[in-house]
Amino acid sequence: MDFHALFDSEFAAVYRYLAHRLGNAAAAEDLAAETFLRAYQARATFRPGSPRAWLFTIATNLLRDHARGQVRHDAAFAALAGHAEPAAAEPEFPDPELAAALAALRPEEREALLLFAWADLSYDEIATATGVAIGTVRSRLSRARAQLTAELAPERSPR
Amino acid sequence: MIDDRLRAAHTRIPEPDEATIARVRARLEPPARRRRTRLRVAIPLVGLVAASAAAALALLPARVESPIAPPVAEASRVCAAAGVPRPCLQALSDVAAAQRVLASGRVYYARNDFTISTTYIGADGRPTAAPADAAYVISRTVSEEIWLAPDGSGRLAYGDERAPQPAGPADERAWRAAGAPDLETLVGPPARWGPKVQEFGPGELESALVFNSNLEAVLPKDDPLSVLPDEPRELAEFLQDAAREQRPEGPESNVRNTFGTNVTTFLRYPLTSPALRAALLEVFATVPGARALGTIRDGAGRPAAAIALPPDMNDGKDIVAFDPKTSRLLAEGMSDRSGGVRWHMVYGITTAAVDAVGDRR
Repeated sequence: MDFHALFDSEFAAVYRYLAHRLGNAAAAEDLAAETFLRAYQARATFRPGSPRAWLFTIATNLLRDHARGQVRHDAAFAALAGHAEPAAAEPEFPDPELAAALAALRPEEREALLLFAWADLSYDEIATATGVAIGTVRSRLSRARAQLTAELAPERSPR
Repeated sequence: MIDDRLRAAHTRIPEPDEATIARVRARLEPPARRRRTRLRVAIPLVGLVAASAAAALALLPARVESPIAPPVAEASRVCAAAGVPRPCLQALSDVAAAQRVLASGRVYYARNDFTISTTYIGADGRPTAAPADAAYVISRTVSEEIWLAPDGSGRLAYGDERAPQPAGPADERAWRAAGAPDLETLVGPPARWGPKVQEFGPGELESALVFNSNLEAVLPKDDPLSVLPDEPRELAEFLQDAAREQRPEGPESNVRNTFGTNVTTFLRYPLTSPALRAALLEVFATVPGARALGTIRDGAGRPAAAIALPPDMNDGKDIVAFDPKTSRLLAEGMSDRSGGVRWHMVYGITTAAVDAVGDRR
């Protein structure tokens, strides 16, 4: 595998996916770098298939770790009685209403939907990246779309 | 419909810019070299008090170190970019880890400069006690020489206090705009800090340099740095616990400041091991609110990788500058309102490994 070519062709997609998921460019840079670092370290184990799906598998796992780490981080701050964490940058999402609706989805449904819409993965690739059967991907996508449609219906919109 | 809205939102996420791509590339080259645990999330820092003047001294002589080509090139490239500080500090950490362990049996000599007095001049042209009201700042500096022997003994020698000068470029502009009034008249006579020489027996100079901010409460008297872990996560936790122990009565702001000044104390101490210095830089890489300022000139005119710390983390000296070639702490200063720096301490202007206390080469 030409790792440099893989970086050149896929870095922007991975970075933008992470930036949109996290709403934070600095954190996205960090996780994108870690994604490619882990991919490089594991390149010997890569099996013929979609390198893009492979990268997003790593990125998806890192996002999960990041979320768990953030929970521990927040808890650690909470344990420091009276100590306020220095203000972290507010997440920035281009469509806040959509972001709020996405946040209400079940994590596995949100993950499948965003890997499809933002990472441009096929159903097969999403199944690989998330470690589930393709039928499960279809059902998760279906439920996610239905819930989002209901959440974002005009009569539910605050505007 | 939903898919269209999702994709439309995603088109508004910008492509990574060239600086971002360059920073990530730098972190990947060579990826196999990273061996220490990186701290992935900001640790809940608490922090601390001002470094004492005595502890503001020593710096390991850069001349006796050997820049290692690959990490140095990476640090120089990564640290040139302003923004997120972590890539620069992690690159500096790699440089630190690649440094040689100091040879024993030599005396380390360094000449430093530090600010001994600061006078704030108000808009009415008279000294004011309120820094926030100052139109410009005048400082006096003094030269300091340090000889540190392997047994922790040594000497500190201070020169005469120099003539007062505007503390930074913005201060000089404001002073000239105010008609360039006589600085000696504005700040009054010197406090007679120097000249003077202080001699230290075995272990005493080491104690003077390390035991600021009540660090003696948490470190052993003999070989005090031996208890500090050099794994970044363990070190961060150790320093956090230590800061709480050092400031059991104070507010959280004191604990946080103590944390930060402990890190800078160990970074400037000449006998800090390469592994510990590497871990300290990793710990600084996790400070919430820190920023990389890119490459700037320090108070001695040297190119330096500058990091802006939160103002409550290093006794007000929010700017720390590192040598990309050795990872050494070159200078500490305070940012001014124009975005410039008032350098407060400048380390290692001259350095050498010498045979005896008093030798300079």
